[in-house]
Amino acid sequence: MNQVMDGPKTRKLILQLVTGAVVGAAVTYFFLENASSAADFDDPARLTAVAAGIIYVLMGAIVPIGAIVPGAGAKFLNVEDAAEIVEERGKLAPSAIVCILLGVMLLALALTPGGDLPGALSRDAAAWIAAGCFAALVVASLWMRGKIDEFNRSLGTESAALALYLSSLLFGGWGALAHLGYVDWIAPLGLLAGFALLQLAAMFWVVGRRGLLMPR
Amino acid sequence: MENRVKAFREGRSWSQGELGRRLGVSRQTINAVETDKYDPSLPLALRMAKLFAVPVDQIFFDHWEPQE
Repeated sequence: MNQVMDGPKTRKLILQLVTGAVVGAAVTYFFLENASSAADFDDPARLTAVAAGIIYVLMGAIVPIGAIVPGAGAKFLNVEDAAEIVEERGKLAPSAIVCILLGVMLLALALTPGGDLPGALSRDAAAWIAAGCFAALVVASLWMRGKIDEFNRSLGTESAALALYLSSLLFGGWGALAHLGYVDWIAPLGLLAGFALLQLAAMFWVVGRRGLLMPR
Repeated sequence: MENRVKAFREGRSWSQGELGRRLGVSRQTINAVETDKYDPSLPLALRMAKLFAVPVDQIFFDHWEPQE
């Protein structure tokens, strides 16, 4: 469905894209600057996990900010007005928590020792953080199930199916090539980060295809 | 599939939020249905028909015709 956006909606879309890109780039830069002496970010798997972790944490963090200050939140979250944020708080809270937990889990795993570097977190500490996040993720996901309606459930199902197809294609193809000796197999952390990024890409594709990324 | 949900809703002077509340779904869902971004489930379509007191095919329709 083609939509012609008016001036304020176009400005809102540009503001959302530019703010997201600037904040994401700045946080990634500061994270890598401060953690690069402890963990090996030349490793593509760790770098991918950091990128995925930061994206998830930022996505999760921006929602509570908008929920606490609905007037400001209506400017950067894709809602019609501040009242809609207030109506949707019950649904926004668990989804924000899920994003943050997933992001923290990936960041904790990326900060473990590797190569010649000691890591910013010990393996045991990262294991406890990851296990805690995973357990909380399960609880938050179950909590979220009761908060969403059929439209959100439909988007979730569609994006999960697409993510499965993409994962099968990417990791299945890679696995076949690795088995044949054409490429090296992916590091376990790269696999985890890859699943998280493909899930995100699938969700954006499904939501975008329905025109839901356009400001309302 | 096209629909006349917006016309029926406005006929009763309800906001999207009010209709969503009466149907047990979010305002976002009503908005997505009205803008043809989402075809509701059969149970939700039936609830809408009951709420507006009209048959489902007065709210939802497409232009499909059976082939001979």
